[in-house]
Amino acid sequence: MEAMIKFQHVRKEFNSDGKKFLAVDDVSFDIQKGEVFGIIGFSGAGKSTLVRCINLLERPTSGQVFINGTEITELPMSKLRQKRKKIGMIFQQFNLFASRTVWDNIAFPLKGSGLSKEEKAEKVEKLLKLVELDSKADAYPSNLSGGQKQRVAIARALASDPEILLSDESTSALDPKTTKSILNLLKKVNRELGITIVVITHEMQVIKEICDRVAVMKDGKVVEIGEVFDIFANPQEQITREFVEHTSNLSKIYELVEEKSDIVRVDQEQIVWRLRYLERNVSEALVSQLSRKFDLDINIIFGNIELIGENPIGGLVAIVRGTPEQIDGAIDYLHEKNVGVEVILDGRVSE
Amino acid sequence: MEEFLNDLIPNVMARQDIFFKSIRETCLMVGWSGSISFLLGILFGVTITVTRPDGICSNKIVYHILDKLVNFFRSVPFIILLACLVPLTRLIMGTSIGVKGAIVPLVFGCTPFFTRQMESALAEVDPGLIEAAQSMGLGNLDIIWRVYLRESIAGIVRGTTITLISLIGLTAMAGAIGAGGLGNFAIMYGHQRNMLDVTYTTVLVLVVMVSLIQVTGNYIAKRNTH
Repeated sequence: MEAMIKFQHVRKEFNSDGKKFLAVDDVSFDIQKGEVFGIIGFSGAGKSTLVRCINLLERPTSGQVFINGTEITELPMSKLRQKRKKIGMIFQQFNLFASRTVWDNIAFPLKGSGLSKEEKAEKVEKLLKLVELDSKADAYPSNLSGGQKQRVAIARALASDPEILLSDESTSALDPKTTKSILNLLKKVNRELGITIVVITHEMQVIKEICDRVAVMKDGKVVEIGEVFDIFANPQEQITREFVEHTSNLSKIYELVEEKSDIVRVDQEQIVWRLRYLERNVSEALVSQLSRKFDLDINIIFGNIELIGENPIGGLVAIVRGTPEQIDGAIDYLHEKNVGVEVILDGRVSE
Repeated sequence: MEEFLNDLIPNVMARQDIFFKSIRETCLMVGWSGSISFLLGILFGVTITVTRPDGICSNKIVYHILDKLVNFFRSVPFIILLACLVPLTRLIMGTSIGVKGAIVPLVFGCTPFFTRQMESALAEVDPGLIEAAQSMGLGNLDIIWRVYLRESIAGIVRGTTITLISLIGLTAMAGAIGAGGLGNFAIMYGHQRNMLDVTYTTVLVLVVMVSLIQVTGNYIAKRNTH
């Protein structure tokens, strides 16, 4: 597959009050044509700066950025402006023109495109339909809800037929339901129009929902990169684990243990374990098999199993009752099945 | 009616021709110097905005020169500016008195003020909009025209209203040293000959003029706020 966007040793340094700050530190990776690529990190990790190196709203201090094979940091300004028209961008704060109607906002990038008045009208109408806002053409942005504003922004970003759409925290100012509908729209844009999408976010939920691959950024560096399923199933870095934990309720068990809650009080025949499904095997009837094979009582406290792409992923926290031999046997069996087991509390050893 | 007015404002009625000429002169001064200052103010306001350190075409030298120049002219009291500019006015207009002689100092007095008004109107344009426009591949001139100016119409109208009102004040001062207009009328008759009705009538006319400008300005600003 050919790379749509290619970062090569990109560094970006800011100078403020004589202090140097390295926002992006030697980043190299490719984003493939047609994929939805996520960049996740806490604020200040450098993800916004990195994504702005794609349309050169920020110029890298050193390193190269290739778009579709063209090295863009060397382009003269006029060529760069042409290139920018093919890279749409949407923002957390929508950035709509308050003095223009929805229609005029969407038509804004079409000025000077050489299209006739009729062609422009046709295009705007098509985009309005795509984002399901046909009825709001004459409204002003101030009369729209957050979700509607972002839809207008998406339509505007698509007006000049871009190859790439950059989304800078585009759902961070929206409620969960609206977030979902915007993410669905982005998915549709990716599938129906074949546009490569780069999503920046600090929410793993967003990555899980629409991304094919993800890069995790910390202190200006990409610390982990891979397919979203693999990252979720088997996060390598501490920060990635934090993001993944954040999306499920399973980590709540540690708080309960800390608080010595009644729920997790175990006797000598009980343990609390956490199972992690690492491979695409959740469809097996694992719990009932364990129960039958090893004669265990399994009481599920938390469960979190979700779909990433087409594959289920997640885990369970459960209290298990059985003899030490039965439990050990079950743990071995789980290892065989490539399910991660973490014994959180063991009544057999405590007290 | 005429009798009533003759009783109420005898000195004005006796000088109706001078009175109306004064109103016309004031309007002329405000109109000419206001229009010139409007164009110059937009030019300078935009230039300062885009050349400031984080602007879209930052240029330290241009920014600092303009900024200091505006500060300089704003710190000179207008009455002193009037006196300082006499030679320059003569050079440009051929005279330093009358409506023609007033326009040069009025432009010098008004433009820096309006430039600052423009600057603050443009500063209210969300930097995110500029970034969005840049990401769409717009050039700087397009950004100035289609984003900065377009998005701040309401602010520009409000700034213009304030400037025009203060300009009327300046014309009265210019009138006092020979420019004609309502200021001259009030000083010459109302003050120096102690004709109070002349002073009061002048005040009334000025209040009406200011109110008209304010109401019109508010209306246009409101229509351009969405």
